[in-house]
Amino acid sequence: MAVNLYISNFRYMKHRFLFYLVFMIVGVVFIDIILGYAFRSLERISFEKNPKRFEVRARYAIEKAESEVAIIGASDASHSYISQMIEDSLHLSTFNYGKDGCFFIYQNCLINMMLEKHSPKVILWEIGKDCLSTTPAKKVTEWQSISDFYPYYDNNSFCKQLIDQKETLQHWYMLSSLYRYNSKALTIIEPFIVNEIVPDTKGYVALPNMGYKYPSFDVTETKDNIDPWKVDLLNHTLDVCKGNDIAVVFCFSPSYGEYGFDTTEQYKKLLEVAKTHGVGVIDYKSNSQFMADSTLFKDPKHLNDRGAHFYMEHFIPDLKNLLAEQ
Amino acid sequence: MLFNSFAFLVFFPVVCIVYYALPNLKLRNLFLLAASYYFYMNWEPVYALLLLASTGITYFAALLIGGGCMKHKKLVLWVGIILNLLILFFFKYFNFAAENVVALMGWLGIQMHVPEFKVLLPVGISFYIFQALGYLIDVYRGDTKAERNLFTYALFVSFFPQLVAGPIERSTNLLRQFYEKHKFDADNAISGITLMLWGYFLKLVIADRCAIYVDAIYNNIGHHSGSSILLASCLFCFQLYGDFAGYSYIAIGCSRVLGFRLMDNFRRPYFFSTSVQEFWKRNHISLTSWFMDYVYYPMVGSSTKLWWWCFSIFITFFISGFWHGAAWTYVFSFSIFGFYLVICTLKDKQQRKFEKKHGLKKKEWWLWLNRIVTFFLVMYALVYFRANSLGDAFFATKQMVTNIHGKLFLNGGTHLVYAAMALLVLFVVELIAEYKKVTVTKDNSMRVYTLCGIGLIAMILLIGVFNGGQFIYFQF
Repeated sequence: MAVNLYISNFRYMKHRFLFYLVFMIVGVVFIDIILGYAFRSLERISFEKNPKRFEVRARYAIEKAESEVAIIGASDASHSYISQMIEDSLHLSTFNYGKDGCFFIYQNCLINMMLEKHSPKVILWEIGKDCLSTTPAKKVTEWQSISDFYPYYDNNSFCKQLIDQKETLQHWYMLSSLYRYNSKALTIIEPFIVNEIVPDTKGYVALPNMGYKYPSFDVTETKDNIDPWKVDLLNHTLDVCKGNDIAVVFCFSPSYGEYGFDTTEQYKKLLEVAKTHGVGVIDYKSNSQFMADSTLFKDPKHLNDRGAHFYMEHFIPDLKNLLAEQ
Repeated sequence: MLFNSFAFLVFFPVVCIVYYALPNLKLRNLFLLAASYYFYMNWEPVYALLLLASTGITYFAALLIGGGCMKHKKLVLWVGIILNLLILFFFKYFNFAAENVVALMGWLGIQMHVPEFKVLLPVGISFYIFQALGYLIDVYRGDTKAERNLFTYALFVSFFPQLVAGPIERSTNLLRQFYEKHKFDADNAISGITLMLWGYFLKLVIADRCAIYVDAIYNNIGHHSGSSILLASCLFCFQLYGDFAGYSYIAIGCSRVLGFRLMDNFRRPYFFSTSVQEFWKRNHISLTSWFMDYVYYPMVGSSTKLWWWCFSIFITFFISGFWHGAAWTYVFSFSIFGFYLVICTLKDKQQRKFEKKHGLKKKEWWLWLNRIVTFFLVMYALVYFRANSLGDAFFATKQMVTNIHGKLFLNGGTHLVYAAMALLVLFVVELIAEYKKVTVTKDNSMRVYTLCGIGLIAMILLIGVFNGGQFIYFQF
């Protein structure tokens, strides 16, 4: 009788626990679907309300890009390239799609997805001299911004393939709608609460010229390794650009410091890939004119507005000559 | 194996299913022992030898003390303690001690060279060694009998939920539970899972979200104003709490699913402590009580001298600073806590008189005033805990005093808003727990646990940080 009691108690406990698990799973899936649908709808409306916001730069590039010159890169792109100056000189509409914290993997995904709907004539790519290397810390930061492309995961095979590379279980995480909107709720809701008027600087974000201490000269040791997967990704992206007859230029804006990239194998590989695909290179990274004046910089890696103007005065003639040769 | 990793989410259910399927208590304990060593060896297999060494030393020492001649009990106790502390010293403090000795000798004009001991800090070493030492001292004092079964004792030291970051369990609580055959209890399992989800919320949503801002400020402290440093320091308190309490709740929840009851390690310390004394009764309870029972009370003994009590409390916290890490920042941080407690001890009588005279003890505004003051005192001490160096900590202090009106660095702002939302949830939950005396037990309704669980998972998916890295206390 004691054994029977034990067995029936165990069965009761087992059923009770199974009911809990089932209710939990059903509840989580239900909330996930409902909230996912709500966020999807809200996101579309929010984007249309204010498509040029910095936070939705990727979506703007993929769905609304029309410019003949596209500037691609991270913060060194968004703060260094003055779209209006390039447009006035080249007489080609220009937009700066640079976004802070969005590095090599994001940039490749952006270019591939943008070219599905729109082909610019020129891509100015602030690619980063160490873009082909990887370190554990870098791996984390490079993949962080890829969440901007989660809304396209189901509809775009390149996007899906790339996102699934993020980590082993990424494919399973992407089954959750809420996960796809991780850390995006505020970005989606913001236009409904704040009526932000975005000045039309065509994507360029000026950094202030003063109000802070100008940087000290930065000397950083460079880690040298080549990630073959990144080389393949870059080759693929450049092939797609070539197939669309786009002139690509690798640009390296000035920094106030020494980073030792030029002698590394990764940089030599980058130049080799550029040469193979007929990609032009304009390199101001260690330009002596810029390195002599710290007041052109907000910090060792970013030009302020005055610095950006000074850079454009030198960069644009070089760009014109390069495009004429290509 | 991290608690917030997929490997653990596979490991844990498998352990539970196999554990409850095994018919025999002996087999269950052996299985848990194997699972615990497997769990630990996932970090660095060779360090399991240190765990074995500590287990072996304290096991045999306890047997000798428990059954040996009265004359040698104290000697065996001290040999056991010293051997364990030597293990801790070599793997955690050797390089720090060597650097400081060389610096001191250099200051005295003597050039010397001590080789660097290049080795990774074994995860959880401070926790399991202290747990083993606690057991040994308990046996010496007669609070518990020496455990004869080596495997059961090894399981007590290595029990995987609390092995790498506590709670530091007492033999009087945990060891006896390995002799109880635990029946599968759905209510225990459900409340255990709810505790685990709460722990994941604290870690992924609160700790890792606050860490984004805290790291941005503290890793470039020279570039930031007093207001930014103050905000980062306040958020660091919650980062530390979320990280450590998160781990503890996951550990307690895992154990509860398996039918074990671990001690509470946190009782809402940051929002509800009305004094620094109360803070340490609510925060990292297992470590504080360990130091009180095995360092402070033996030091104080039967002395009635106030100055000796004050000295003992300061020394206890000074040593506790060393436990946290081989760096002067930790020692300084806990010395500040020691100083606070000395002041508390000295003013305790007058404060009680004052409160009694004005009937303040139960007045809400008085309680909240004390809570706010305590929070800022604790926050200040933790500036030294977080700062990368003492220089940075002094700079932070100077900035908070002289440059509080400086520009507030927002770092985009969205991380702060998410952190604020998460902290609001934490505050509301802790307010309910504090005032309604609600605890997570098997007696609560399954419906409540299900709804809480769904809510927590939704919040983790929506505002959790998934690449936040490992728990802070793993480095101790």
